[in-house]
Amino acid sequence: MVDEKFRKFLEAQTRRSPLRISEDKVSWEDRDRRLLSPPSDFLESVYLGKELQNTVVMERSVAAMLQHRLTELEKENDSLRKSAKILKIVIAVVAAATAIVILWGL
Amino acid sequence: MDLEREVKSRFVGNEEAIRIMVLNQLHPRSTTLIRAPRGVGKSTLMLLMLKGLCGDDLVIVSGASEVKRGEVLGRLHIPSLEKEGVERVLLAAFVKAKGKGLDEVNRLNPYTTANIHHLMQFGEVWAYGQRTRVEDYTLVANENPMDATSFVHSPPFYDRFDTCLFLSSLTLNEKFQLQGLLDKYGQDLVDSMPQVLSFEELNEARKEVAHVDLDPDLTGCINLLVRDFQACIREKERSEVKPPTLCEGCHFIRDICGSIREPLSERATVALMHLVKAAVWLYGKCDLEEVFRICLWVLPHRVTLVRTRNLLADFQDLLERERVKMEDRNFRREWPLLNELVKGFNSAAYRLAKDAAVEDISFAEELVKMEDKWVQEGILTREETLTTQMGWRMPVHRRVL
Repeated sequence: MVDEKFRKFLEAQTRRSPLRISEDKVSWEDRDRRLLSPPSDFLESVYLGKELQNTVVMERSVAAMLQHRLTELEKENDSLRKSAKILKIVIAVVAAATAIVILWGL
Repeated sequence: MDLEREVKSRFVGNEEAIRIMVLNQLHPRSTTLIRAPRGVGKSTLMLLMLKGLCGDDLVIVSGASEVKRGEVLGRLHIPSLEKEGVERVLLAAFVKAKGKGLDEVNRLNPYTTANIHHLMQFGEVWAYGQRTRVEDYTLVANENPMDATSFVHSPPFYDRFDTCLFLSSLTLNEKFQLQGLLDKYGQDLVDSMPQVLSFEELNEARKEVAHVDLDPDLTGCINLLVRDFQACIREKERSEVKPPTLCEGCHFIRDICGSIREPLSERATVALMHLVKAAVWLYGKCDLEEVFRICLWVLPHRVTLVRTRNLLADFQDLLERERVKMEDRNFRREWPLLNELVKGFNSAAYRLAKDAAVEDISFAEELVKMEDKWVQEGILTREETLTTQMGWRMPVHRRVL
């Protein structure tokens, strides 16, 4: 038995953050999420060069952001490595061609 | 607003405490406790508020002087007894006055305190076998907890105070302001305080405040906040062993409940409701931030923390954790999920709710009650429930039978 005022509270909360419900799935849209937890000093150490404390507490969203950034950096690293490889081959081909042309001329 | 302005124009600093004190006057039988070290202005603030509301209709009982029963409750009318053999009670001025002040409550003897406790609890006094109903009033008390010559009063007595205002000493700049005020008002701040509104006008305002309808979100937030400061999966209210020993090995050891030794009473909810209604009536709105600000003046004197270094700072930390918890609840959509489950069992919603309940005791309590119902209806088996899977022992008396 749910109290009427409690039901009103639940309904008000649902109106604010509606759910999409199917038989085996519940989903919702996440918008306007304000971070109210205490700031982690980890980001300050990364961006402002401040010294880290012994223990670093990090919010899940901050960890997710760092994970995302690391993945992006890894991808960028891979593509740069590929470019460097191609450029090395091009340079080698050009150098070889130049050497052949010079030798041919002699 | 006028009252707040008049008090602030005679009392330096502590603006937030004065604002809360004014809000607290807007419900019947209002009680305020002021706690501060000596010489910070406890008595002055008490007198300013009482004068502003009641004019000369105020009586102060001082714990620092000898207080007799007759001065607080009443005394026998001897001529009536001698001539007519009738026991007539002459009520004390303190009982009849609209404005009641208790100076240095910590020095009041236990007998006087017990009588005042009864007055605050039931709105009546007993003297010589006669019961007298006390009309609406406003009561302001003050105490210095550091005072060595103190009686230790019981927690239920302090619980009867709607708010407890902690005053801080004046900063350098504020000391100059105080000297300016003393010069302006001829060294007597209290005498210069006018009666800002009559008690009848105050009663009218109190009636209007009582009829304010609160938003379901605000009511929910207040109830949830108080519940988070009470809830314990191991029932600390009934347990002989108290935190931190009780919390050893508990799943929720890092939660707010693990920092509270003696939980809040339901009077905390009532006091918070009164203040939030007063804020809505006076300012036209009250948001979650305001509720958290008000909490700091309503909750600390009602609970005992496991470890206290600085009560207000410790409490501010707890409230900050509570705020993060509320945000996490919104993020997990706990209440919309529960709303869905109230309508009927849904396995997907139940799975998510179960995940959330593992980290939220107040939410778990609600879910467990519903699980009991589903087990009885054959929708779930006992083995599938949260209590079985987490090894929690929910009290039998809370179960849905």
